[in-house]
Amino acid sequence: MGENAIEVHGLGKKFYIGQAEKQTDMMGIIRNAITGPFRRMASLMRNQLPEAADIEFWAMRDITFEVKQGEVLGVIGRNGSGKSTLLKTLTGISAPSEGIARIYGRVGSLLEVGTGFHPELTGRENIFMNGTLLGMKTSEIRKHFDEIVAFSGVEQFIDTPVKRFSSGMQVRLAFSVAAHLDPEVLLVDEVLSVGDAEFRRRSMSKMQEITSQGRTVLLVSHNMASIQHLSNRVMLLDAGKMLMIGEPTKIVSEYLKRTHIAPAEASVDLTEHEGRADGSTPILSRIRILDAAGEADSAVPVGGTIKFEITIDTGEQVVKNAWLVIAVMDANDVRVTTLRTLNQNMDSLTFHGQQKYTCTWPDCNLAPGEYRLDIEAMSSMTQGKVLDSVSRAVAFEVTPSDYFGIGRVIRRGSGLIWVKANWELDPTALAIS
Amino acid sequence: MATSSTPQRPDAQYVKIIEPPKAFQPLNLLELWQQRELLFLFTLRDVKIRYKQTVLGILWAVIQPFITMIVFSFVFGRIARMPSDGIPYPLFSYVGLLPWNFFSNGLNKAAAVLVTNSQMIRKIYFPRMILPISAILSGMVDFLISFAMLGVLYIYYGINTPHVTAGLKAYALSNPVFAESAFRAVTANYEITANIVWLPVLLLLAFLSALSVSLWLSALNVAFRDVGYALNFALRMLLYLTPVIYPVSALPEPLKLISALNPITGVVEGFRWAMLGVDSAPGPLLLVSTAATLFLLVTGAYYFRKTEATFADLV
Repeated sequence: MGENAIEVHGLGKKFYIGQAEKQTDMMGIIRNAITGPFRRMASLMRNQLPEAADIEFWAMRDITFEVKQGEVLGVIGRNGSGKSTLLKTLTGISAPSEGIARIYGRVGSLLEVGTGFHPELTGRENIFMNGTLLGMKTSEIRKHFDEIVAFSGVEQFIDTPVKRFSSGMQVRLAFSVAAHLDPEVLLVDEVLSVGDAEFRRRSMSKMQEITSQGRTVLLVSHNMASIQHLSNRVMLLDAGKMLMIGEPTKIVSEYLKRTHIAPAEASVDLTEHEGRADGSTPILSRIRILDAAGEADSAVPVGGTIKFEITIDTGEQVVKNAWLVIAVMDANDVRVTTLRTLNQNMDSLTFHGQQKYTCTWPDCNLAPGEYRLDIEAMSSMTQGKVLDSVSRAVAFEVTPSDYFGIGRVIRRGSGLIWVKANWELDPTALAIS
Repeated sequence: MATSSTPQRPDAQYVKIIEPPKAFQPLNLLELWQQRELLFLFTLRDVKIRYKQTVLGILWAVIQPFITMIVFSFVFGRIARMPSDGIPYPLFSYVGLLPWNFFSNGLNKAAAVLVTNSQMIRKIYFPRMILPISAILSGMVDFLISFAMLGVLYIYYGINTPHVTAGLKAYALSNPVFAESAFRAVTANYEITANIVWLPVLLLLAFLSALSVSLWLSALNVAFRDVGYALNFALRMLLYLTPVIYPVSALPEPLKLISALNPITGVVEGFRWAMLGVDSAPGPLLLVSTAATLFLLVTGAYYFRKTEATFADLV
């Protein structure tokens, strides 16, 4: 203990961003097709890769830190902050442009579950393939084989080609292999968010087991709850720079504060929201938070009525079999509850043009604090079902109130929700034997 | 970047240092050796999935060279009257096709292998050289199957073997029924000779020549997908520059050694010498081809290592 397992000095990675040719008319495309080869050969003569423009872009720079043996370092930051670049560099997948890093001990990395899985190979064959790719020896895999299979829960299908597996089964098998990696230094990227709830819970506890064994771990995640839970220290990256490193709860709350939307904004335009997931079709156009009277108000007392009004705009498009999902997240990024049209009082929706949906929560019994909403528009007609997804769309505040009607405002209470439970004293059990 | 003073560690053998790539990256063959299990599994995987969901399966490894042989025999043997060192043209071309197919199939697979496995390259670290090596090695199974087919051709053409010839001659002379075929066998100038012991060496050379070109092609293909288009065409041309349909002996003298700059030329001629016992010992040809192979192999390996660090960003 006390010795460094990972040392990073001034690590940086530079990319050249190519500019897409912005020619849309027919003549432009033809002209480009003809002149393209000559232009690209010319750029080769200048010792430059074709397509690459002169624009330099540092995905990360001046990254310096150390990780002690047995320490778990969490890495957080928004999309594009350089988390994945850092991890890819440390694993050796892509080389840095400057700086140096040293890693002491056997290194294992896990950037994705199921890398190298081949659909035509059986579960058994894929365990060996994937395990060896992750750095295990065949003998080690053989030793842990039964454990791996048991953990995945796909025993019956182990000699079936994985193309016949459901996607859930594939993910479980892949995670099981990864979970049995046994390196001294482990580099992990966001792998806890796979599979169903039950499997996530199991992988989380497996992760906890791994991190508590005195192994050095560098963990990249978007899940603030698990980062806080697993790490000894947390590093915050922003735009490729290291902003701060230190005690998990402090750094996480700082990060949440930075990405936080002022609760005062009860009405948020979503058309160009930065929380929109890549590949979404921008359908969600506005969210408003209303009070019982229908006035915009981003604060609600515990037990009060709160309304979420979502405006969607599909233009000319008609989307059938659709539904809306609102995920209510607390300040620690824990999902407190999910409000969805489907399975509640509305059946599948048909999105067409501009529509307004209002979700009323008559007795908002969340504990006082700040909450934010992730909103999704789904349809069973689209691939992967997600039409549009905006995270951290809007924030609202739940303020202390006299929820229990006892004549005074309760400021504190532990837990996530307040419940009007009824206490009784059983009068018949008075006798003291 | 100056190295800061770091204390020596007991487990110093496991220090992994991550730096910007140098102009000359060391080849790091030790790492390749340590990852031999992965190489084996990759090769095995390729072999296993190669003929999945086909009806004829591994038979394809025989059908392709066999039909090519028939077409070649008709076009070049019968119509063009190509010389074949006195060997029946089908046998002559089939023996030449064996190493050629191994070479060209290996190149086709290995050149694309970094692109077809891009997902893996972007998500996991392993010595990338394993991919082209395993792509070529997996072709060894096809080679062996088509090689076994050669046995059938031997029997059909009644190939001569020196130690049985005397007995065969005596038996044939006493039995007029076999006299004609025995006469053919005895007078044929192709036979299985002791040269056959060189076969493993020639096979190794075939592997190295395919690898030497593949290291260049696969690495180039990551940045320049032109390789895929060029290769198809180049292989068709190269077939004519390789003594598959003609013997090197048919070339004018100064061209003989120049033709051996093609790394697979020496191997193809060597195969005929080893398998058919043709007189022309391919010594000088083999030397030139091997030198070409080694040159491409070493430069290819360094080029591969130099560009390896950018594969994940470009692929």
